[in-house]
Amino acid sequence: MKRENLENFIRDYGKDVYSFCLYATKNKEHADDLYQQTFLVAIEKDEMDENQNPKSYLISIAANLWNNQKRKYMWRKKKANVIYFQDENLEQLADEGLTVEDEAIREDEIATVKRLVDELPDKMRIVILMFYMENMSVNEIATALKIPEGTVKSRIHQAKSRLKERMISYEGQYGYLA
Amino acid sequence: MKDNMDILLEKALKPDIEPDMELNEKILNGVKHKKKSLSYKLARVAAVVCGIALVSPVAIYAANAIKNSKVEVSDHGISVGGQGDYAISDEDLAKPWEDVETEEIEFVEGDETVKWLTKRVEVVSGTYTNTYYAYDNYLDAITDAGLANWFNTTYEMYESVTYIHTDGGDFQDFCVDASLKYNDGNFFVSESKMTGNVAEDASFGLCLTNTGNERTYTSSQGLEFTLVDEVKDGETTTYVIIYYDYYRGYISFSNLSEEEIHQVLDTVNVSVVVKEPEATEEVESTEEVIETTEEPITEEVTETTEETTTEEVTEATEEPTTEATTEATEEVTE
Repeated sequence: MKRENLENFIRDYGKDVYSFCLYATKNKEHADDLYQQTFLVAIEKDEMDENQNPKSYLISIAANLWNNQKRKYMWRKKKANVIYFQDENLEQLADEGLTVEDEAIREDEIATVKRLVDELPDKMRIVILMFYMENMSVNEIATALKIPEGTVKSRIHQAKSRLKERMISYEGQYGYLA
Repeated sequence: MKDNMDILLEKALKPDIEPDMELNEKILNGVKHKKKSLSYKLARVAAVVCGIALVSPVAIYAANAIKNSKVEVSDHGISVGGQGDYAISDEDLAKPWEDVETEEIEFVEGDETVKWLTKRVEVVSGTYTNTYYAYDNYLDAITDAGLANWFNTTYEMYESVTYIHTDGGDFQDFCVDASLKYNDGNFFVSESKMTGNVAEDASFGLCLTNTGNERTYTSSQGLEFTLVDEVKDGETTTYVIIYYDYYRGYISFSNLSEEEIHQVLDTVNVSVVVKEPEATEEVESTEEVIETTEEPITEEVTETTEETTTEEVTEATEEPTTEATTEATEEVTE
């Protein structure tokens, strides 16, 4: 792969891949590693094609790398290290491109959803991230993770149900979901 | 059709986090600043370890974690330790293992200055190193690896004794695999100690097939073991998992009677070393330690630990007799 092409891929999809890595690993150091590994694997395979949805391709690599790694060793940190929960990130999120809809979603709601997603079992979380964060289709996720489409749908459904259940406990605070 | 939860999730999970510029530069320059492969294999039986976490100082505590760690038996193996997300599921145990690429970078024979017979270093997947030291004596390997002797008697080597040191960057693993003689048969023991980024409640599992006949045996030392049979190619092998804090491992028996298995287990006398909790953040494990010290065997274990294990752990080295090893390497190179 030419350096110029790689630069383009990093520029166009770096943020998507890194966000996924960070949310998947829940740890900056491990996200850095996973992010690098993802691009290095992509470089090694040299199969990235601008016309073949490179973002999905990269996310698939990242998801599978992470699945393989955590299967053998799962990481755990006790310190508060989930940097995407930091206030400045939330402010940044809230300030960017505010629409009427955005305004309706309060900062604390977003923070709560992030935390609840973070608490999901890994298999559900990965699928949720691929679907909502990376806008991958059910078919793309199924292909990437080598699981049936029905399993993908089931995990999304279960994850949403679980999130809704947890959100209901905030009912007074979240009339939004009612 | 999108519902409110869909919209909320889309808003909450915007991929808006930029990687550091430095990180991208390193990719572009083809340099991986801290590549850590986490794949790992034990000899004989594939093992799964879950729980890599922050490091805290090592100290000696009395505990009897074997009694407090519930062994989970499933169709595809046995596991112990870990809670919630850190527990090993049957699905985890059932997943096929991927081949890893290894490259041997060094092989030397030992001399009179070292206890090992041969040393072989391999790089696995280009990311971490395994160093294999072959011995003809179990106690020598255990001592060099900085591990505790799990047995209160001496068993002779049957086929092989290997000390494997894994250098994974921010974690180290010290493992001794040995097949040892007993009566007319033999058994296999694998003992490991992991240091570095390891959670105190890391879980450990063995990937087996066709598990069954789960039973327990309380040894003459008062330790309760869970025995599980694996039937493979018409042969039955009995596994006993041993796990406490940094130490993990198993003993497998394939040609010993149940009575002989019990006799071997009667000689198991583990000393327990647990990680000292950091005052600011390890409250949970402090409580665990307090609880475990209330176990009946505490005093006995405390004595053993303080007298024997402290020095062994403190003196645990990454490479046995470093100077001698270097010399041997140079000689061979020349």
